[in-house]
Amino acid sequence: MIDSDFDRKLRSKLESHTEQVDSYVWEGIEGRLNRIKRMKVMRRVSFYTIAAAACLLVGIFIFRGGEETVDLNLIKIAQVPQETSVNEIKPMAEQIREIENKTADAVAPVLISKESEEEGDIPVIDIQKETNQETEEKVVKESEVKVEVKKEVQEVQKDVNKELDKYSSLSDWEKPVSVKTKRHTSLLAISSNISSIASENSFILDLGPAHTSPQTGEVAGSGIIPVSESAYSIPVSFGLQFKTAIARNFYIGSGLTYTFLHSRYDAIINKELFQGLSSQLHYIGIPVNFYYNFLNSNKVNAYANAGGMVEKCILSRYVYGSNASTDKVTGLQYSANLGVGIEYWFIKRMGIYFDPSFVYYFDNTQPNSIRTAQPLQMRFEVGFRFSL
Amino acid sequence: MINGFGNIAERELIDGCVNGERNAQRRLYEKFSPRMLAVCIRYVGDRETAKDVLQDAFITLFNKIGTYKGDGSFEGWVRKIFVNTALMHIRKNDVLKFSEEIEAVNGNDLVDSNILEKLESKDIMKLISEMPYGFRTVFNLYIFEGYSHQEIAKALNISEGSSRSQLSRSRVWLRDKIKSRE
Repeated sequence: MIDSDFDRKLRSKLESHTEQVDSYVWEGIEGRLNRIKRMKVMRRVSFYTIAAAACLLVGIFIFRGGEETVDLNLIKIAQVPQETSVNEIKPMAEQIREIENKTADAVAPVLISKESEEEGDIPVIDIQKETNQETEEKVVKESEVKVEVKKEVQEVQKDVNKELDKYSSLSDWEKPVSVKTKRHTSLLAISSNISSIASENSFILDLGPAHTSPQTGEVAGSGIIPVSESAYSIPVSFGLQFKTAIARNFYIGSGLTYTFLHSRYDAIINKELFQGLSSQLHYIGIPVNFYYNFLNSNKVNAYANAGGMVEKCILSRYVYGSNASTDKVTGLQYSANLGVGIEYWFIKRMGIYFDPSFVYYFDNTQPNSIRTAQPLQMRFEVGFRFSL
Repeated sequence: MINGFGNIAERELIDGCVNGERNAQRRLYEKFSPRMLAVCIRYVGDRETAKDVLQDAFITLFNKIGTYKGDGSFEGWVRKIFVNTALMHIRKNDVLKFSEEIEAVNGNDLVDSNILEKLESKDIMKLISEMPYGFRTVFNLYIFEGYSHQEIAKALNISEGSSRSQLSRSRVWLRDKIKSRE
């Protein structure tokens, strides 16, 4: 029997061949479809959340632009209840100076030379014509006014002091927002962070099973076929973040973050085995985080934070032997994070902070990396914050 | 017949899957899974691994079904997804065994067509699943998918000569096994 006949007979024999499929196969497919559906919903929700947060951030940034830097003492006075009418009160020294000037003007004799009187071109009050008695009465009257105004000012000042004493007796968190949080309402942070890599037996790995990357097998049409387990380096990030208060003890922050992911594995490229191929992924991301300060003091703040980040792989590079190739990565990487943090203000406008957090990287069909092998990671972020 | 969509019922089934309707997905699965499991077994050999490939392929199918425009038969399009998923699995796991297996074949016996006629499809399936990976992949792509050697070379990242050689050896290997069953 020649080859073509042999092939044709085989084809006809197996063309309609079927195999019985176990019911659990469909259950597995259904489970994965449900997970994909949830992911799609989450992706949509996180997209709208990030968009809304970004709009909010832009809005806050625009509308708070005209805020003036005012001395703390003046802010405190502004907090005094309306019935004391302190808004109409000028500073004490100025008021006393005004009264003294007023009184002095009233009593001071206007000296007019005989010559100018004779010329008659300047209208003046001729005090020479007033009797000595009238002058004395006027002086007494003006002095009384001066004393009355002084008393009035002193009373108001007492009320103001009383109010200020009341505030000074309150604990930090009871003080008015503008007084308490003025110093750190807008912050700029320069940060860097590293993520831990869990060992195979780690509970972190147990909590977050690896995503099945669609680019296992050939790496995204690049002709690179991984043939060994990957060894991952610790991911490293650098970033710039702006953080601003949105309510008492609540902050929102966003910025720009760069992340470098590196891994090594053996791969076959054009039928040639390359050991220790270096895979380098460069990501740029926009994080959006919400912070709640649960501990405030002059020097130290502690807070909880939650948020997310959307990242785009801007460069995917493979180095093997003396060769290198790049690859285009489509789609975005979404992640969610939850953690706590502490910041220490060692000088008035500069502080250092430390944010340990859990980060979960969603399955977004990204290239194989530590994020697909270990989606749930511990991240340790440290940086400097500057009060604007 | 409406374009390449077999019939109206198939079009409705596809539309249901595009809309993410679980019932439609289930019906599509029931329609194709027995035949596609056979395809997967032919490529990966092991039944349990074939089930994993089947799952992956159905997930890809449901995710990509919106891209099917009705050009060509739907079953052909579905089959292509399953073959590609199986190939991806093979490339990932067994590419290094490729060259070693080529050396393992000897002989060039022809087989009587009557013997082949007497064999049931499940027996042939069993023989093919026992075939070394390298032979089996080229054999499947050429005999059952109708790929040319040029297409096989491109898909497996091998030379056309290598594809021809492996096909020839796979036929010899299979004939030898069939004869040994006499």
